[in-house]
Amino acid sequence: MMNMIQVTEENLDEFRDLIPEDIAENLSRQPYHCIALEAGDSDPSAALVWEFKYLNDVTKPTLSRLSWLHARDNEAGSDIFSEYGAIVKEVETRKSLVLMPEDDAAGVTDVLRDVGFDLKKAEGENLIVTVGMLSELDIIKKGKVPDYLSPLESLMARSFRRGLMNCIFHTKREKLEDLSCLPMEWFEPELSCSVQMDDKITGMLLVHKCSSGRLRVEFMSATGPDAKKDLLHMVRFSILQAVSNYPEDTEVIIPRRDESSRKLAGYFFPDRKGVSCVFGERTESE
Amino acid sequence: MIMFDDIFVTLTFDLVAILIILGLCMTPKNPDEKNNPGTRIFMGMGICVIAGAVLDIISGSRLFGDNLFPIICLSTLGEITVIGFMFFLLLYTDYSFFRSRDHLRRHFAAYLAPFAFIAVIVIINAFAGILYTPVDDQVVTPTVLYYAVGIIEDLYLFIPAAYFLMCYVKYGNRKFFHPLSICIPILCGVVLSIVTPFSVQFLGFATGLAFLVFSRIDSWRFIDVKTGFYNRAYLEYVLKMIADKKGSFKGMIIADIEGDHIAFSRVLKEELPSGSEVVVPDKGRFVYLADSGNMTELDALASLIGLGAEEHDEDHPDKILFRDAVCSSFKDDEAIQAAIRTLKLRINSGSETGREQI
Repeated sequence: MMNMIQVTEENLDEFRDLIPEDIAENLSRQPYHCIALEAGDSDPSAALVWEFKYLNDVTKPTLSRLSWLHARDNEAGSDIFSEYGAIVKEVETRKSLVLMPEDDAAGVTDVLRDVGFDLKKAEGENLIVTVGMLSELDIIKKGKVPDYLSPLESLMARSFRRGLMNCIFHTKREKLEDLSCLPMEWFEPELSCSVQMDDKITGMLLVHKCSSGRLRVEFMSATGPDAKKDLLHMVRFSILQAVSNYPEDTEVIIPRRDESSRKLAGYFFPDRKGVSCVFGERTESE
Repeated sequence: MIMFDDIFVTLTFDLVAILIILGLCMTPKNPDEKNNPGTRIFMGMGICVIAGAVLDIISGSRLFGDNLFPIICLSTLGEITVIGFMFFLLLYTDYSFFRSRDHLRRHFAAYLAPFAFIAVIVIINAFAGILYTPVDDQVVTPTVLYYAVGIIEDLYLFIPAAYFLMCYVKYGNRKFFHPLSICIPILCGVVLSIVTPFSVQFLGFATGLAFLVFSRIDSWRFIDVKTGFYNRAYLEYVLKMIADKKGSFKGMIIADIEGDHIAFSRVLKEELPSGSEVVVPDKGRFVYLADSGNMTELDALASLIGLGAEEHDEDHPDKILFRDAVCSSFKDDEAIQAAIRTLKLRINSGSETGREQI
């Protein structure tokens, strides 16, 4: 008899071997969910991690994006997806999407096809570079950081929250689902920074240090009248900090969630491609 | 050669008349309006225009003598008035577009430079005659500097108008500020004065200003003068827009308070994103209209407002009792109607407590 278990922060330790650490750390966050299937005392046969998108945004249809799947065999995979299907239907999810690096998806493509995902190869949205590569960029060789830019470590929690809300409500960019709820500690204080105008924070670049030690750009937005300049100042600041505080081989993940972040990443790394991924989607409800 | 004849005098007095009317239009009727930074800039413009026009009249009254000096004085003062007015228009337009004092501060020198240059040149000219060389009592020959000042003046009108037109293409209309109606007459005036023998740039300028004044006067009926936020009339206007699915609003937060509502308006200015649209339909109620329909974000913002009110109470004797904040988002027709009903109910029959999601 298979048991479905909701994996949360409390019982995560039992499933650590199944879920990569960078994905497991997200389970404390509101949009991330994880279920696992267990039969008696044996090891879990399947685990699935997904993230809801636009769940609380009434102006867009809810999507679910799978970020990790482990299945011992096709049967376990099929079982866990029937549990998953019931959960996402409850919240009227329109579509499920999968965009996994090829290496992660290697053992589960058959399962995904069996449960109705139409799979194809695609370039991943994450661009992965190293601190060494950042140190060669021209942007850090010219220009200086203006005095209206301040590192996150110099901000009080209240100012951070106010600034974050100001940026969230002004930006049209795709952003993390739970950005407005993430605590200040989630972001690396020496790499993250903000720009201030008229006593309000009008731009932020927020970097998270993953459990694996990789750095991930979580949010980057400038909303003031000189937004483009401010954005470049913040990028310059963060790169300079990363170069002076982290080893050259530290990986930096640059998510390209929308067209503007794709353009910006292309401007700095014109020849660099995203990780090769498996992409697929299936309709959950019309 | 330039003839200071009857036509010149008529045109000058026409300009003086336009300036006086514009200046009077721009002076706020209600003293509470002075608290609004945009209004202060506007009022400054109005005062300068009236002062310039009065000086024009005074120096114009000396025209009837047989000396050229009063005529040059008149021309100088007229020039400074108009160019000063262009400078203030630049400041006002910049602020209306970007709503940022820091942005204005950073560009102030660039905006001021042409005005200062022309003002200095025309003042020196009044005493040293560097712009015209007198031929006789009524006829002068312009110097190269005269043409240079003319070109700078035209560019001073043309470049900002073109720049703000570009901003319009990028950002669209600002609330109660329609750059097209200001920039197009100015641009047309400058272009016509270059390609035709008629100096109509100031006519285009005055027409643009008139449109600006009318749109400004139009906005006053929607402003709550005590808080600087929008009033109930604006709410009615917005609700109609929302019901017709026009505009960009996708959600709202209704905050109910007891106590000092002006102090709470200061809390809101601190906590809410810059440029937020807040309506004060009555003393104890504030409605924040949001472009976001994301309930997680609206909830986070509502709790930030609550925290702001608590912090205010710790530091000030004028207490605010923050009762609750209700977040709503406009999903579909049904949700829009429900949101409007809730809002009207709360405004008409006092506040209700508890959270709700529509």
